[in-house]
Amino acid sequence: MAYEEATPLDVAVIGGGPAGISACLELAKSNSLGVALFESQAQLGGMPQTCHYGFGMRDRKRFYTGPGYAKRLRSLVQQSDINICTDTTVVNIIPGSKEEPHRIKTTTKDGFKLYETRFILLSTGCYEDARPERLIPCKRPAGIYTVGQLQQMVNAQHLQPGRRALIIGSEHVALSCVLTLRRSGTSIAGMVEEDPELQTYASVAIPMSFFFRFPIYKNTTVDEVLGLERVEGVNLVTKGNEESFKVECDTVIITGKFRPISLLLDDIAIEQDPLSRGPVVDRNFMTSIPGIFAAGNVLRGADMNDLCALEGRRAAQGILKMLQGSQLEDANAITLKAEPPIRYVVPQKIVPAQMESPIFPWMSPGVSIQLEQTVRKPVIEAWAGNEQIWECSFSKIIARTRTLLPLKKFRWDRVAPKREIVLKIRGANN
Amino acid sequence: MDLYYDRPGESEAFRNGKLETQVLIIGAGSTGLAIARELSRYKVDVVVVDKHMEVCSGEVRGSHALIYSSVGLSWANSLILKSIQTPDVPPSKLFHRDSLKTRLTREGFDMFPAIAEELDIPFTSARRLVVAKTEDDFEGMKVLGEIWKSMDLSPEILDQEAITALEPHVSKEYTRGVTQVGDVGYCYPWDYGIALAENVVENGGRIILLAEVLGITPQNGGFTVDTARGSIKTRFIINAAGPYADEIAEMAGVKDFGLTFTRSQMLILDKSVGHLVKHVTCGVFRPGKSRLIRPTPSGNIEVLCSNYYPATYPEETTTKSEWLAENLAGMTEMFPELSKKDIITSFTGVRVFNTRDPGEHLFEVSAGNPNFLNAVTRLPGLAITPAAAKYMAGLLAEQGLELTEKPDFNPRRTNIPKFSDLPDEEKESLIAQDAKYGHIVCRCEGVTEGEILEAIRRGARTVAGVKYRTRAGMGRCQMDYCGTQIVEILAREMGIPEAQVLFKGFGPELVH
Repeated sequence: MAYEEATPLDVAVIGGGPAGISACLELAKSNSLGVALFESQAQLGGMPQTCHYGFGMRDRKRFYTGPGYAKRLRSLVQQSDINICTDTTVVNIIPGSKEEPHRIKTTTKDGFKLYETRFILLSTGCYEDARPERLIPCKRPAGIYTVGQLQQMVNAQHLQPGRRALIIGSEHVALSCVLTLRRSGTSIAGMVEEDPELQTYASVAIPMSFFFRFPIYKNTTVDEVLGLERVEGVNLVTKGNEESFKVECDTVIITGKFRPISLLLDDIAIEQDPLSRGPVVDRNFMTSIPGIFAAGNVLRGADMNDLCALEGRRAAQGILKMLQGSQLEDANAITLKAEPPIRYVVPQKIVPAQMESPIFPWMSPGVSIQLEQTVRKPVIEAWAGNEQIWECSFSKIIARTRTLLPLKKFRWDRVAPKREIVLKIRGANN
Repeated sequence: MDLYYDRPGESEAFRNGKLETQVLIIGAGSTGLAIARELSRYKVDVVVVDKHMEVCSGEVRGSHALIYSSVGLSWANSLILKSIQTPDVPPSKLFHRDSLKTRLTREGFDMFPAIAEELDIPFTSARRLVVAKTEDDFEGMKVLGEIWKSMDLSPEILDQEAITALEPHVSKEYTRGVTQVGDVGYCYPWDYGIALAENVVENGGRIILLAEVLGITPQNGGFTVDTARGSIKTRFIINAAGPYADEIAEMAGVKDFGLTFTRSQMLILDKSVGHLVKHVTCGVFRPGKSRLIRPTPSGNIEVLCSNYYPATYPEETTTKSEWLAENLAGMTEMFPELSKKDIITSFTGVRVFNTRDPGEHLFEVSAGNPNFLNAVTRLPGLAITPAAAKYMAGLLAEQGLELTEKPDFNPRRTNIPKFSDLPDEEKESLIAQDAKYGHIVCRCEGVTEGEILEAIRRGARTVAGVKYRTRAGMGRCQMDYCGTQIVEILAREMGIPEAQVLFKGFGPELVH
């Protein structure tokens, strides 16, 4: 090989966001390990850097702003012995085997490098599906952004995206988008939701719409975004009405619909979940390839940053266990699957005997589900073949809000090992 | 801001109306640029003007980019549509061996691989596969058989097993098929156009952008052409303005044709399903049943299962949800494993037809003025461009333009290095030469900062210009991740504030 062989590593962490950094902090507790953290951007911190209101409650036990949280994590990891490689893009993962270590290839401004590593933790996060993915009819004018682009533009580059913006989608992130837009001096033309239900906390969204004086169009879809060079307005149609009506705006912000960044996994034989569109993992966040772990939003699209941090920590603990000689693979693991409108269930592989019952479920990176849209009075059921082993009714589950599954309450005595459990919502597909 | 490829000092002359040339080509699309490249072989002064900020900003971007052969299965397949429209003409009579369209397509198709090699652009010669499952399709197959007999074609006839062997993921319901090797090719049309533009400039031609033609005055055996940036004196005008060719002809007072437009919506699918489609696969063309799915040079899939619809004006490139539904239905009918989740983008392309003879290209010396030449292509447009350029040069020579070959004509152009496709050793040496090649900006397509800087050096001035030259932002996240970084780099390199960077061409900025 033309390029130099780099020093062998124990653990390579790919992605320096909350999940990756938290895993590093956990791994740093064991001094003797060679750990490297790879980040493609110039600065560690990941997504919280451009968000307003970061979190940190679950992992650091206090509230931070997004940039504050990123800064805190950054300073912690910089004080540790972790080898930090910023401005470094991992371009390939080459899985090893029992005898051979895994390998990764990176590029930096200094050249192309190959690393050998015993463990890989993938924490590359997620991205937003932009307009084309949501396939909004238009002539592709300038002025259509995702929330990520908006936040980078406003919070990192200090630019104003437009004069008047229409927000499409009403998930949690749409609220953050309202604040970002107002901060940049852009007025808000409205918020559009195709469902009859708001996809976020109505108790926050509705006061906000009064305060910032914008209408919320529920049960409404986008007929067409007007304009050739720049957005000139949006035609909306309320369901049941034939006629469309025009909203004047020069900017359209598309919110929601996050998708894992799993490019690195595309070329390797690793089990992926078609529902979450990320890798399949077990309770320790190990993927189907022994020694390769994944944690954070790469598993399923966006969830809270501090939860990703907890997952990163859990994955690191798994790696430490394996280093001490434990066998993490379990041939008897049960596979969890879900049916729409359940968006995903993560982790997908569990062993009933190893289940814990957390005192604060909110603080646990346990097995959880999210729904595609807000559902009132859902009954969630778990089925093992033809046998129902659990059900629970809820008053309302808001879209893309995590619901932890009380696995202890499942009737495991009726489930044989290696079986598949399907989670569904009663009456959803009839 | 330097907006055009020119010789130093000429912008002054241009502003003052003192720029002179022998041939002025209006429209920097694939037709105009191909003609310009052909003329730059000779000792002829050529200027190309375009109203956009980048070359190939018009029709080319919505082209479906197939290079047809005129005696191929695809050609035969498309004649079926015509046979349905004109039931009284027997199918075998539909193929006109001597028509200009057939001739130019055949010559262009034969020339294309060599030109693609000279211009260093990815070009794939492919196999065409036509599949059928219903009685209606079988009926169409019979007509297809008649047409290809008249073409002296002998394509291979397939049963269900053979179809599956060729295209393992196509629906098992297709029981009959027919295939021909090397009957069709594909490239990225903007790759071709941009490469042509660079080669024209290399050989002394000039391309002036943002110069919309405002008026044409005939003057003693030539013209004075007023543009938005200055005026030019020229002996000949080649009208390659595509969808605006009628307006240009009217300005010169020689309008004797009109234009009509049709449009169709296409989908691009993610690379992760790229392995599912191996050949240019289509159904038997019937009215209301366009079915065409093919791989692209970069490993994505392109779907054209929506029909052609009339468009009233050339910018009517809006996408529609009903066309999306059509595309989806056709796509899943042919390849059940593809799904809506795999779509990364959709776009609508507009095609131009002249009203005088919609079935034929318009390459001619205008009846009204012997120094004014029309070059308006119809479908299939891309394949004919090399041959059409030679044809147009011939017409110019007939009109008295002296074509003396330039001894120093350089047909070769090298592409921007594509970092992600290089072997590891070459990546290493590229980074050693320029550290910017080690910085990946677009992670979906693996495009580095070095490539983007090279694109800007070669004339990209907008986000779209960078995108079409490097593929940055054409991957699955569609610029969600790299969009702002590209704006940053453009602003830095051009020395303008980020707020002034344009998205695609003139008009409002990306941000306010």
